[in-house]
Amino acid sequence: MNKVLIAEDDANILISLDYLMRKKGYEVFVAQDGEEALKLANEHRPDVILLDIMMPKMNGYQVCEAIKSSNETSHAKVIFLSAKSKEEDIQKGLEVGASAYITKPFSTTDIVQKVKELIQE
Amino acid sequence: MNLSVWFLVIVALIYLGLLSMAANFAEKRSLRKKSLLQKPWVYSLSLAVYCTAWTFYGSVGRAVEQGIDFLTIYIGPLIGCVLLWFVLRKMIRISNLQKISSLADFLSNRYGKSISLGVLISVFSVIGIIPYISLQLKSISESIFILTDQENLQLGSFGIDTGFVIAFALSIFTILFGFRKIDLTEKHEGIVAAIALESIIKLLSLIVIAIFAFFIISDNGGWETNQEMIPQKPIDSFHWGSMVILSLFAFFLLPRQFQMAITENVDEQHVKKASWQFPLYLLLINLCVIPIAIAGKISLGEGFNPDYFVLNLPLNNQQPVLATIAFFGGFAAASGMIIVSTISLATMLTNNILLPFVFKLKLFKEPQRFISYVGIVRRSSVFVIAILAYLYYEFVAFNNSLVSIGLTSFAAVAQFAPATIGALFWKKGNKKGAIWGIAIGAAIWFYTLILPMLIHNGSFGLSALSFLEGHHFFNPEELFGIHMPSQLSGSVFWSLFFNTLFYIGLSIFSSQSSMEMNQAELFVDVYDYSGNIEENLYWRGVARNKDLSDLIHSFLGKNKAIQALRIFEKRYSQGELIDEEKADRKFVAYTENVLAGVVGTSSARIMVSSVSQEEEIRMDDVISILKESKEILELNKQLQKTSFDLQKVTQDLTTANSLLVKQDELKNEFLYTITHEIRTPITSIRAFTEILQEEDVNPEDRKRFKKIMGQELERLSRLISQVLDLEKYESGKSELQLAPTNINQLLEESIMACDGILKEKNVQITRHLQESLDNIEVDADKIKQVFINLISNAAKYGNQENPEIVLTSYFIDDTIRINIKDNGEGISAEEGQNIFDKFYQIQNNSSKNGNGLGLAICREIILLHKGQIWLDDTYENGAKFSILLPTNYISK
Repeated sequence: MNKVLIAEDDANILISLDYLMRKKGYEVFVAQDGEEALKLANEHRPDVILLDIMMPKMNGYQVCEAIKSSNETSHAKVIFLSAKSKEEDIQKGLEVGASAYITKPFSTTDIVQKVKELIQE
Repeated sequence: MNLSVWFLVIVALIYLGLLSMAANFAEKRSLRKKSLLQKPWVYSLSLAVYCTAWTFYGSVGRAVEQGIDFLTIYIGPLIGCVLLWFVLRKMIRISNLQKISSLADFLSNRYGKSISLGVLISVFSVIGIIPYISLQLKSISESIFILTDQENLQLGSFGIDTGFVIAFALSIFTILFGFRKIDLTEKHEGIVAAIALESIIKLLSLIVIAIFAFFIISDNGGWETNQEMIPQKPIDSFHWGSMVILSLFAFFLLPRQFQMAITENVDEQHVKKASWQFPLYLLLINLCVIPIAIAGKISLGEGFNPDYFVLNLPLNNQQPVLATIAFFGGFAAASGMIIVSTISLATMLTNNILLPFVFKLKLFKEPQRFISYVGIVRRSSVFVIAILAYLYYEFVAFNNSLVSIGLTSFAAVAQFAPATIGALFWKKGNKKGAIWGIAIGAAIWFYTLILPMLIHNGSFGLSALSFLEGHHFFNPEELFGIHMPSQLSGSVFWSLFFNTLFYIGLSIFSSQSSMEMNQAELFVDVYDYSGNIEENLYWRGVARNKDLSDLIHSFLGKNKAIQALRIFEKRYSQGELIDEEKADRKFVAYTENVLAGVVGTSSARIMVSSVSQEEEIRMDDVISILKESKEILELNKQLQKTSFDLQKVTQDLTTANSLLVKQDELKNEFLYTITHEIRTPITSIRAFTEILQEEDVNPEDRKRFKKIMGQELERLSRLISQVLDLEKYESGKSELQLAPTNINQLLEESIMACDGILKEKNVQITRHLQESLDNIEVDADKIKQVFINLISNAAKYGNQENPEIVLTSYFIDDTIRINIKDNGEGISAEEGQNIFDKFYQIQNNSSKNGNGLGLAICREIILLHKGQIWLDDTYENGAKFSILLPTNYISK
């Protein structure tokens, strides 16, 4: 079973993503801040990480960099989910090693599609 | 007890060595462009050359004999200090412009560059000041006599008189540091530094003796019992008045004062500081006088000359160190005066008498050696002055006290006052009036002050006096048979009376030459004209460039001449001056001005005339050139103002622009933040909508998801209404609905409104509410909104284990203070700064429920009530918000 880690500080968005991923048959781990996300990533080695950018304790960019720089987690595909929609934000997200950048409010089909694609790669 | 002569000679030599070091130090510094003269306090101290041995020794003598009368000669300068900015600054401005280095030059310049006036003033200054210099020599010799207990002192076996040795030594010092530079209007860094040092030394040493005197007084029953030691004479207003006027004039007109205050001044602004620093100096030095006088009376008694209590007091109390300090100070005071007076008198003697004579008769043949000739004349003048002073000291017996000799000199220089005041403020004052006024004043001065002294000394035999006294009308001590309170005040009155009468009378009834008129305008209205003298002076005639530049070369030397010519060429953006061409009037005036700095006005005049053919100038020409110059300055000022205005407009525009940019940025940021804030609930709503569209959601989840969607919609609408609220407050469109309200009740209602979260977090509420906070005019709904916001924040972000909220309300003066405290982690002072900004969210805030608008709205509401809201960052056990509401708010 493929593993998906969801890091999102807004409780309700987290609930929706959690539901969606479970529904598609992934093993899901959830975190509400950056530090927790990094910890879970190290523990469970997820295949895909849905990562919010503006989070307490550690922001998404920092989490992504940390994940990509560690041998044990660098294989994980990162999808940024953010309300930050400026071109430079997206650019920065891709620079730190993300595979995709989806702006909020997102379409659930898009997310599901993207996760599926990345896992198949 | 006595000190040895040689010891005192060594002390004096040490002092001169110290002065030379200070002078050298200052000159070296000025070479490194760190001139001491740039320091205002150095300027103020150099003005204290006013205080001579007369002050140092003589004031005590005067106090013993006449009581507080000694103060009179300091009141004048004190009044003078009030006038410094109006009078002295003007004199400095004029002197800089016209390259003036002495009062003789000043007045001769003003009155049509009159050579005869220069001669008159110089001669009379020398006559008037020589006794004053010898007075200083006398004080030095006498101080040595007293300390060594020897009369008729001679050094070693050579039979050289001490007075002579001192005069000689000081002349050498004067020549070394006073006439090192050829241009007299260049500053004497060394001399000024030496005089500033001298002023410090004499003040400190007098203070030391005064402290010693204080001990003697307290050992002998203290201040109260000994007060009557000093005679308490009634103040004679006529006498006091004439003394004050005399000293006021002296302060500005004494040659040494002119030298220090005007010639050596480098910055007009120093005058401002001097106008309180110098009075302070006078105050300090005068505070020392009375204690020394009383202590002297107590411990010395009658057998001692009170003029030298300063020395005898320590000496007779077996205090050789203190006696030496007193001698050191007295020597400093006397030598400072001698040095500066000699420089200024030698300058006058050279520039206004000797050089014009030499140049007029063409006694110097080789122009290339002019500089060294001038130097020789100057150095000789120093010796001439020194020798004259010595001779006066040696052969004119002194039966008079220190003070009365000094006052005689004061009365002499006071004769320059009417012409000087007129020079500065009265355009009609003319040469004829000035010359006759001064001459008559000088004659009366001589007749009423000097003649009686000479007669009493036996120079004419007593028959002369009895003859004069017999003829009542001519009695020098009671001129015209009118009795005056003192000989001095009578002399001052009559001399100044006739002086002024002639000055004004002749000025009114005789006419000015065009040159005089030109200069009168430039003196009286100096601030209205440009700083380049050549633009303001009219000259008509024929001169060749070459002759003029040759003159400059022969007086300035090659290097300085080239420099001076460059300045002129640059100033009028001409190319090099062409030798054979006819000189324009500006160059003629410029040459004369440059020469005046070296050899004085009179000689410069003579030299320029010798190479040119001058024509009579017509009055109209002078008037038109003055008008032109004035207009140019006016135009310059306007241009400056215009360009200043332009600059200001540009600046305003830049500020406005950057403000707009800033506002634009803020607006963009606001929009960005708002969209971000809106995106979050919308994201949830959209996600759940899409999820619910799928059919296989179980009923339980379906219900849960719908509830979440409801919450998110509420959050969204709250956000939107808050944004709109804030906009309303910020744009000033919101109005308060004021009604008498009970604040405590409002707090209770707010607690009720927060019931949900309070129960959820199990928060304990503690109340410290002062009663009778009712009937307060506020907008209840809005204030409640603030309270709810703060209470729910306290619940949300406060302590999670044992949450407690403390509410306090009480009156403080005309205001109500409300505190809302939680017991959580608190907010750092740094964050407290921004917490009221919209969309500001505290970093590392784990529960991100707020949108950062609540506190911004709170602040707007409180401000609308003319109150204050702030985070009390001194509170350490949690976050404490405070609100101050005025009770007397009147909205109408």
